[in-house]
Amino acid sequence: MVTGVLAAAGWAVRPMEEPAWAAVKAEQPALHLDSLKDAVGEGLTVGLLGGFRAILADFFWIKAHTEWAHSNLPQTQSWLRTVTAVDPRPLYFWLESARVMASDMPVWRIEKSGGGTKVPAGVKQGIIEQQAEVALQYLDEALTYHPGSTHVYVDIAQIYLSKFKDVATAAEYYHRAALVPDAPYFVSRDYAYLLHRLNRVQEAYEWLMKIYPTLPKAPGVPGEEHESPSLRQASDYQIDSAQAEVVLGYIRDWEKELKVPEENRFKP
Amino acid sequence: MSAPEPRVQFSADRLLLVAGNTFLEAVRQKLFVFLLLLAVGLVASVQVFREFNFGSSELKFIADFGFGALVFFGSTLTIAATAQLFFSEIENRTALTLLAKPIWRTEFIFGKFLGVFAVVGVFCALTVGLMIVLLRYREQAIMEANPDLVLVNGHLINYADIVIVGVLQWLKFGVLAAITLLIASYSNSNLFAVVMGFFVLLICHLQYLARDAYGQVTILPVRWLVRLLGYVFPNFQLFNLADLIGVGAGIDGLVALRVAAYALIYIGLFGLLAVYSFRHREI
Amino acid sequence: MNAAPAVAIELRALTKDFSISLRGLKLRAVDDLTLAVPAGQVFGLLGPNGSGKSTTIKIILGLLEATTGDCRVFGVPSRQVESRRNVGYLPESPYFYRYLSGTELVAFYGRVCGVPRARLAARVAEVIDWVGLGAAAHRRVGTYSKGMLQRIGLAQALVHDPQLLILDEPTAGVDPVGAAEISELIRSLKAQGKTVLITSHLLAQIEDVCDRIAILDKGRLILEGAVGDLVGQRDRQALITDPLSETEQAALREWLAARGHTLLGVEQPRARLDQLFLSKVGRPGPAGGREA
Repeated sequence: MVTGVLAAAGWAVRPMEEPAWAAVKAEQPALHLDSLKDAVGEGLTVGLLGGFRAILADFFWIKAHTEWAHSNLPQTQSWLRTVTAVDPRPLYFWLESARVMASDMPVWRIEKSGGGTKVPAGVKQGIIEQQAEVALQYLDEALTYHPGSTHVYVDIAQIYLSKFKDVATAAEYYHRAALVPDAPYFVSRDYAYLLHRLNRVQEAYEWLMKIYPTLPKAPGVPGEEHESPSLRQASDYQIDSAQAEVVLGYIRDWEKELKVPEENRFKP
Repeated sequence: MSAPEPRVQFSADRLLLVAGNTFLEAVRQKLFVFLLLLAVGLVASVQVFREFNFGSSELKFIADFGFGALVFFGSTLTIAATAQLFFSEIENRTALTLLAKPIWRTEFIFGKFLGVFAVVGVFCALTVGLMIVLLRYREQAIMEANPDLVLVNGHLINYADIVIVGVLQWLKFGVLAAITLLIASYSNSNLFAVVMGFFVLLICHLQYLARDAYGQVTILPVRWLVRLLGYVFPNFQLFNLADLIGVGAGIDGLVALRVAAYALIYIGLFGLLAVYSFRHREI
Repeated sequence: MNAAPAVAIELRALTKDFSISLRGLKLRAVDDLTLAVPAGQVFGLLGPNGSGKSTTIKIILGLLEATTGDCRVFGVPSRQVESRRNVGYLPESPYFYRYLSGTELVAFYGRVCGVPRARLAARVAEVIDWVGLGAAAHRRVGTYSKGMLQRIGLAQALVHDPQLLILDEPTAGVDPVGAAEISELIRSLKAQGKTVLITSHLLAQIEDVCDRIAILDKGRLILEGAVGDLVGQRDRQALITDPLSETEQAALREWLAARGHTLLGVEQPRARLDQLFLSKVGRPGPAGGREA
């Protein structure tokens, strides 16, 4: 009887609850995970610990770093994963953990295998790539909690670039990062720079011409007079970060490289 | 034969008497004082804990931490106090004396509920109040140190949102208390009611999965079972609005109202079911 | 005003079964009990442990539902809340909210019973004085002795001035002085015209205060009637004199034999132990003066 009444009530209140639930859920990526196991874990941690998981994660973070100081790979790895399992909200935990996995852990493993001078170069590269894979998988998981995060894309790109020397994939991730609204200015510049490294100079040149008008500029920098009202409100820090003059410098260099006729050159 | 006795009307006064007495009994219990001190102590000690904070901004951390203490200890207090206050009446046989008076069992059950709800309300008010004081204190310091920070209505954090989340958590505890009361109304032991209370709390936090999974299950009986689970248990994840504080536009008033109405409906429903179950209980 | 009904409690073919196993095994606690408690009398419900006394009382108070049969209090079915309007109940070994004072406790129950607020304070003071707890009224109930608990229990049962008092083992665990005080209070209630239903296994006390008794065993009614009718020996008489010598006793036997009578026994009259105890310890006044 009780079950019947509750089911009927649940059905009756659903239309009232649904819009509220959609709004609450939309703001919490942790509540729409695809894997049931992860979703159960997250559902319980979120529901029962609430914000308490922040401090718990902080303590596990300290624990992870105690192990890190001893170059203890399995323990460090395990605590880092625990940190983001308990509180996946702070991006900082994901990025720092991935950096430890990709950059510190290969060094420990090489040291343990006899040190940089004794381990053959091929083996060394193998270890570096294995750890890079671990970090990439971890950052993929980060994207389920922080979909479309510029910082995660940039870190993935950095791993492809520095560990696999894979400029093309790195450029692809920089591109994704650059397309995120409010992405930092350096991302677009670096994307263009990588395209240039890939000898896709025309593409790089066109990309920079596209973004130049969106950059805030210091007084006197070409194009400043056409700035939109929102760009005019940019702070000094934003203007410094955008480095419009540097971007214009690249454009001019690549115009020469591409032998763009004078009359077709970019006019800010 | 004498003329029939005039009907004993349902009385809010009697209900409030039972509630007042329940409240008085609860605040004298060590459990309440212990959990309150623990929660308030933890919130107060956030100053120390923030030294270890790595993940989020300081004010967000304080709010997170405060609501963590509220949710964790509040849930424990709600389940334990409801079961304890109900069974103390039964086991000490004070219910025998009380229910032998001209009092409706509805008044007894809702009186018990209101007493617990008031106790949890005091707990929430003190915890959230302290949190706001700490947030104000740290906000002042941060604003003085960083005069160029972008403020909304002169503040770094929306205090109304903090209060809204506090009230919604209180209402969630109300639903939890009514559920525990329903379990207690037919169970024979305090321990059973507490264990089942926590069990239902877990299920209510996972109810949303049953709703999401419904579309993905292909085996028909399982599909119906999952659908039933999604309807039978209230969705406690709905009350989890603390993460929205300081994010985007903050908490939408309409969403908060819907959540509050949802809680009140379930409080009424579980309360009435508890009355139904308790009506024929042998004292 | 309606005249008070002649019967305060009426039980008709009352039966109560308790389920004691999942396989449907039942225990019959009350078995086809038919009984009427006349208004204005002190009625004793007696029986050994497990005879169904407490179950019967709980049915009368609406705390349990009868399996079959009918139970009415002043004509109102006992499952209705209205039936308890005119009833005061003192449970066996009462336990009250320990953190309330005597006054707060009685006021709490007074309000539950609907005593108007304007009269509440005066009424609470009145019943507390009546049970002899005036000096301890502001002490927390948690500090009360067993006898005091019984008396504050009596005060809460009386606070709304009910016509029927149900006292479950009111003297259990109370010392003889306390028990005598409670007996005194019961007599005083009877004098006020109240009906009192009392259960006890202390038969001597019951005998002293009850007008009628019923004896239950295994849920069944074994015996019911006026105390005098049940325990008095109508075919015997006792003469009490100062001590007689052997010769005088022989002469008396002869005198009786000449008139067709027989002297059945000569014995020393004995005071009852509880009366001896009370005469040495000091018997309290009618409203009880001892408080701790």
